[in-house]
Amino acid sequence: MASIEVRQLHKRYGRITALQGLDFFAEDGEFFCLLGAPGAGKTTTFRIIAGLERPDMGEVWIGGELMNLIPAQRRDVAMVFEDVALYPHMSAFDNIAHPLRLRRLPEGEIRRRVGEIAELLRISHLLHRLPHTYSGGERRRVAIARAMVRRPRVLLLDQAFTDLDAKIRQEMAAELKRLQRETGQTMIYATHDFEEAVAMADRILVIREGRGVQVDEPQVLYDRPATAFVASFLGSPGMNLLRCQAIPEPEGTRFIHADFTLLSPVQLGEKREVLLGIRPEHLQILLSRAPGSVEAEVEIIQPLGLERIIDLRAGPFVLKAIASIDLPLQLRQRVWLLWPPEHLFVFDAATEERIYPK
Amino acid sequence: MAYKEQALIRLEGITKEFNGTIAVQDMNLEVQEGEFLCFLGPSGCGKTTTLRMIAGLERPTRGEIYLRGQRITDWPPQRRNIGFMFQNYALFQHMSVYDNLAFGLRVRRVPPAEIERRVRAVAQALELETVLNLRASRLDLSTMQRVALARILVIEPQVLLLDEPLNNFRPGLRELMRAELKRWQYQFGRTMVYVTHDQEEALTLGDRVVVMNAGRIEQVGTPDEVYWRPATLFVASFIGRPPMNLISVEYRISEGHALLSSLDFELRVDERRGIIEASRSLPHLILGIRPEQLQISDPQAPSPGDLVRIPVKVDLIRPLGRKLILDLKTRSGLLIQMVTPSTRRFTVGDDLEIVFHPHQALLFDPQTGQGLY
Repeated sequence: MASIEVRQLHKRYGRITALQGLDFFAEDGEFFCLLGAPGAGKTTTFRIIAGLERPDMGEVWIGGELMNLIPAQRRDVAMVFEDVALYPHMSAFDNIAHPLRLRRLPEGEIRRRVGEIAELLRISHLLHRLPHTYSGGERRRVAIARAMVRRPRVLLLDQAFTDLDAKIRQEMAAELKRLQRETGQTMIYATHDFEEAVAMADRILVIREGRGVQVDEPQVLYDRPATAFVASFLGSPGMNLLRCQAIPEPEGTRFIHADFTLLSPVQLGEKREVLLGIRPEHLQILLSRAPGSVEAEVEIIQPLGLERIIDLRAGPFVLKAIASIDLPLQLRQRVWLLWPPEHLFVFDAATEERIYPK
Repeated sequence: MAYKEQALIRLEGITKEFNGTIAVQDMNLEVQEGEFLCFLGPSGCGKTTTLRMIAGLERPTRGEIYLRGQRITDWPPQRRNIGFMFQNYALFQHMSVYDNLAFGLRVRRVPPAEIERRVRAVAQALELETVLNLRASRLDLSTMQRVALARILVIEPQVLLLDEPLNNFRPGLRELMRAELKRWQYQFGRTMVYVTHDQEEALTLGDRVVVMNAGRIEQVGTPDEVYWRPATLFVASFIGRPPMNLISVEYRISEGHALLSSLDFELRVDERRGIIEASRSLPHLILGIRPEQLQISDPQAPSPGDLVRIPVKVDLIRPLGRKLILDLKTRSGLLIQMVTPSTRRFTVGDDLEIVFHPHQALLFDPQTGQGLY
């Protein structure tokens, strides 16, 4: 096992820029996640770490060693992809044993190691069956076993569970996390699904357009997003973001767009174009007008167990709020929204960086 | 919504077989005038086939279909006066988007100025203004889907059958369209029959939800009913994220009390004794409890004595932002999931005691899968 670091990775494919200065450091034994939309550069990063691709610029370090000149087969990195390619004519045992046989390990040692990893991944019952008899989750387990059996220093998983159905995906996430805890294997998982990332990651790096945006523990990313992108990407539903003019007033700041106006006691300095942000769970719905509230209309009600997600139209905006099922609401009902100032976020409209809270 | 005496659409004993495979089996269902009815189920459950039979694109192998009391089983689709949109969008490839949208109105001899007005309005709602002059053959999948939906909406039919109409929409537009469809229903009194595999969509849009599995109806009910009073184990486990906790329990009588016991806990169910004893698979039952109904007991504030208590260890933590999903392991090794606010911090391996009220527990017969209410 080993730590892994990439420094200032750049990569272009013709006119397409895949990476533009990506940095991160994952510790030895850490479960690290790369989270970003499709095309953000996650797969390119993995291919460069594995040595399948050369960066135009930048460095890859594994266990404190510079890897740039080391060929793929000597980097000791294993990778599991979304489209799992098992040898269809080989049993799970032979599929998993394959990388060990290539290294000419003695047969007794191979049997011991395959048995061990199969037990860890709970696939001992599959060892003598052919891949076409496995379920989607079982295929993934066999692929992970094959990647881990040679005890790589780093295991890279590229959307390894994305195409599985929701329930199996959840089970696999729990399983992989448990496996990682038990083995101390350094793992990096790439995904575009934040729920998948938070289930497994010690820390998450949010990537956008080939650059790291923010790296933190999942809850910190949620509570203190560095940019509007992170704020909208994490959360279900994500943060409400409203493009407004922020105009300073003696009692605070007035946020205005078309017929929407909100006065809040936060201090921002001079007039500027901003994205006003509030999480759906912090927007309070009132059934009658109150000082400082904004009028809105209920557009859609989505039941969610003891809560509901309410779509509200306020002037030019549609906002989402979480409400308890005890609050009586109907479609087209007129309501008033309170914006607690302690839960307000403000991002610069141009750079999308957080300007409030500081 | 006031239900009329006569159903708008009635399916009576409908069965559909394809080459010996049963797609829909002995279905009875009424669609009320003005309601938004959602069919929900996994792929292959028969929901699309049902919709196609209502539209007249498939003929039932057995059973009859009625529209306002009139038998229409043998009527061709065009005679039924029902608007429908299926997943193969069947646009006129050589025509412009505008002409695709105007076509149905021209056939119906709507005045040209009215056609122009209606096409523009629907194009605006579905973000199609910039492609009105393009040929349908040049559109991408998502745009084709929007054109297909617009083509139905522009005709303003009284009944709309929609098969996953929003599944290729970009996220923001998808939500706007949900609101739009709902508005169509309540402003213009349209009847909507809607097929989806997305439970959030079904629970959001539907006045009633028809949950289907393997060609049969599992339950017809309001979103609240299918969520809180699932008729069967299938409905209980299909609806809800994370899914309902389902735990095997045994029924017994001890010192005059009716008890359910699992390896990890026990609860009294005296008041449900009659219902339970009618079940055929006794002593075995399945107990269901929603992850958001579980609470962590607070040693500082002792909770009432009639709560069910389960000692657990934290196995996995999913910080979803405002909520956490905890995977918990009981002493016997059972996995229980709970949802809890993210105000408290947890670590894997923490020992907790979780509690719930006995009356919150749902009970199911494991053999028939039926809920015991």
